Formats: sequence, C-alpha cells, structure tokens
Amino acid sequence: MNRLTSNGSSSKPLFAYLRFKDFGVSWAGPHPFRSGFCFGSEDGRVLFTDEQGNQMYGEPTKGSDSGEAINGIASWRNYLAISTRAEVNIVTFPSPSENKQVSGIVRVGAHGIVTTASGLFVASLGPLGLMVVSPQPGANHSVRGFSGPPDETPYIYRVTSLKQGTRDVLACAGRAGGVAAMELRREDAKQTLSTITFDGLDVVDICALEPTSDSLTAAALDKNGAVILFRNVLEDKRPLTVKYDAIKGTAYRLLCCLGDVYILTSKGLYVLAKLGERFVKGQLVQGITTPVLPIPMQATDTNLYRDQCLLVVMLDEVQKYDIKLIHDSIPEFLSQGRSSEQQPTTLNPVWKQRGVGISENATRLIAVGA
Amino acid sequence: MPTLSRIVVYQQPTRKRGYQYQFTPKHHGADVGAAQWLPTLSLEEEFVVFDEAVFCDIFDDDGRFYGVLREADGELRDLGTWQQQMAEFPVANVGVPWHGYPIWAVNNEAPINRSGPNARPRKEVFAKLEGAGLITVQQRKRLYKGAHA
Repeated sequence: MNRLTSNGSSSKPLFAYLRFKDFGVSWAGPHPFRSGFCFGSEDGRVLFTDEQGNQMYGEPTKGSDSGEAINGIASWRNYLAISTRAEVNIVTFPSPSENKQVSGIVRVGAHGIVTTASGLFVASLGPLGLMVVSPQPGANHSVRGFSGPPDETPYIYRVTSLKQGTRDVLACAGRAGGVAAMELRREDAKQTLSTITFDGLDVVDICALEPTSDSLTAAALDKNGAVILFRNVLEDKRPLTVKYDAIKGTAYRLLCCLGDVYILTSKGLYVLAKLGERFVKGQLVQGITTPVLPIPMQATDTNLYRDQCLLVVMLDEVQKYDIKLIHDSIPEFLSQGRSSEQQPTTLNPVWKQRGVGISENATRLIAVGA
Repeated sequence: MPTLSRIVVYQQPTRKRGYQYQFTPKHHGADVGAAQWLPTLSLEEEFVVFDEAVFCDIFDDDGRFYGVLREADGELRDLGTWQQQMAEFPVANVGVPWHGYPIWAVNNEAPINRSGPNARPRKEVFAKLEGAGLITVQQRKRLYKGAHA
C-alpha cells in the first residue's frame, strides 16, 4: 500500500518511515517554531527533526517533569506547552526579552492541549473541565481552570480551537456528553458551554473543517466511527450525522485537510475524500457518494503537518503520509478498486441540548526555574 | 447495575488468593462526585474484572490491583460512566472484602482521597496488563498516555 500503483510504474511512495533509536514515540506533530517535526516519547522526552526526519539540536530533551508519555504539544511564540496524563508543562524558551529557559508545571493530568488563535493554551482535563493558560514572560503564566456541576458538565476529552473574527471559540469532544462549544471570553470568570448529545453517543475527537479560515464549521467523531458535521458548532442543534459502513474498529482521531476527512481507528486509517469540502459547499445531499479509502494499520495517534502530510504514530515507528498525493490520487484509487464510493447512513437521533455554566476555579502553577 | 443502596458482597471469592469482593453504593450511583461503574455492566462482569486482575497478578508496588474487560473481538469495554476502560482495586483492610471503581489513566480521575503523583496507575501496571495478554500493544500505548483504546 506504500505505492500509488501496484505495478511499480510511475509510483511514488504514499508514506515514508521515521524511526528513532531508544525513543518510543507517543505523539507526533509539527515543529513548534520552524519547518520540521516534533515528537513526544513514552518516557516524556521531546525530539525535534527537520522535514526529512533528521534530528535537530542534539539528543531528545526532557519535556515531561514526571517522565510520563506525552499526549499533546502546543506552541505560541517562544512558549511550548506539553501535556501528559500527570501534568501540563509550560516551557519558556530564550527570546530577545527572555534570556534563559524557564519551565512551569501544572500538576493536573490532561488528555491533550491546543493553542487558540489569540495565543492561549487550552488543555482538556476530563471531569475537571478545561484549563486555560495565558503564557507570560518568565513563568508568570495566568492559569485558569473552568469546570461545572459534575452531573451536567461533559467529560472534556479533546478540544479544538476555532476562530471567527476576533472571537475565540472552543469546540470540545465530550464523550457521552456529546459536543460542547463555547466562546472563550478571556476576562470572564464564568463561561457558558453549549452542549448537544443523544443517547448512545460517545464523542472522542473534534476538528475544524476549514482550519485555516475564519469559520466555525467543525466535525466530531463518535467512537463507533460516525461523523457529526457542523456548519456552526456554536449554533447547530441538529447537525448532520453520517456513518460509513467501511469504517471498522474503535475510532481514535479525526482530522480534515484539503477538504478530505481522515479517521484513524484501531483497525486503520480511512480517507473520506471531499467529505469536508462537499459539506461546507452544501453539496453533501441525498444520493451523493463519498470515495472511502481504507488503509489497514495498527496505529495509536495521528496529527497533521501543514497541508502536506499526516504523521501517523505506529507501534514502533512514525509513518509520514503525503496527503496531497492521497488527495490527488483518489480517482486512481477508485479505478484500481482500492477505494470505493460509499453511500453513508444518515442518522436522525433525538438531540438533547443544554447550556452549562462553568466557572473559574483555582489551579496552581509551579515554577521550576531554569 | 442499578443504583445500590447497600453494600453487596459477591457470593464467590476470586479464583486465585480467595479474595472476597463487595459492590459499594458509593461507586454504584450514590455519589455523583465519585467514579461510577457503568449501569449496563452487571455485578458479575464487575467481579470478572477484579477476578482476572487478581488471577493475572496485575498489581502495583502498593498492592492495588488493576483490571480491564475485553470484548470478544478484543476491543476494550467501557467500565465507567466517564468511559473509563480500567478499574482500580485498592488494598482492602484485613477482614474486609475488596472493592473497586473505574479509573482513567490520567490523574484527574482518582478518588478525592488520593492526590499527587500516585493518583494514577503506575507505568508498570500497563506493562503487566500487556504481558498478561489482557491488552494489546496498541491498547497499552493508547491507555498509557491517557487516551481511550
């Protein structure tokens, strides 16, 4: 499957392998400050490479104070936020106004961390809600936790940041609590989370459909592989929910790039060609099929690198998929029978909505110095 | 399992070590702030999680046991109302049956009487689960970083 054509002619590899000695990768994503990649390890170290996978800056460095597996890395200017199941680490790198490297630690476990368009770090803390960090020079970061009543607030499992004008909008995968979204008002101690769910739903991931645009379009992923599509994640109360029979296994991750939707499950990677693009353009109507390309694999995580590639964390290596090549090759995959046009099942669940008030609570940051 | 209003002791001890097991109201609907077993999970299934954990010696240095429940196809079942896929069984006092609760691998899921770096399953627990064949490498790598498997 690592070639476009089976006969070897005009073939270009779909992916390349990246392997690092004594470095079990748990997370892979873009280099925070320049072209290249960044990897987190199962023992809490961070490794930077160029786009070819050549190591930069010498040996991997410590990223997690506890030495736990890294599950998220986000950046803003000269700040790097690293999340693990034990804590969130915030590293301030030297800059013209900062002459030494300083680390801060918040000892609360997170499922992941992202950066908002306005430069805040937001970590998903499960039943403890959200943690919002405004990085400041030194380790004087503003750290705020937001949570609501335990019987009303969704389990905040993953979060993605969207932007509309000057508004920062957070969209959250809330497991059985469904999809939650809120406008993040920086100065307010109380915020309102709008949630929608239905019986049996288990939302495990969420992503922007137009990540580089001023848009609140989003897609969420049910653990069974169903995709929930929003034109406006803050306002839609009956989003389009579709399921493709070809998608097998426990769903892990959902990403959208070049109008295609990528779903990683315990069984493989599935490309739903043009699904995002057609939805955004209003072309996803009854009778329209979607080319679905299954790539069987045993992977644990995946992230996008710009509009260029997908970094897939395998059991003992990282595979770098050329997503432009996949995007352009869908017609060829169809003609070869490697992908097939699929008519999704449209689900019509009884959606339940509510507004949940979440308020600021004390979260302590520990500065650990240089 | 419906809400329990009183402690129920399971009729059989574990296959290995002969531990008694009890089902507590706290983790069966009586305390919304505590980790809750999934209502669709039967008491027998909850006991199976514990029994298998004891049978396979899945315990940490402090003697806490950890268990999972696999579907026929190898996928892990959810055990808790927050979709936890692991369960923790703290050491019981002498003469008192054991009990347990669902737990995430992240430390924000721990019961409130535990805090700090110990409030999550230790690393060796995941290796033991994998070594006993209760989880796959892929599942271990997912659980290990606080993700669902």
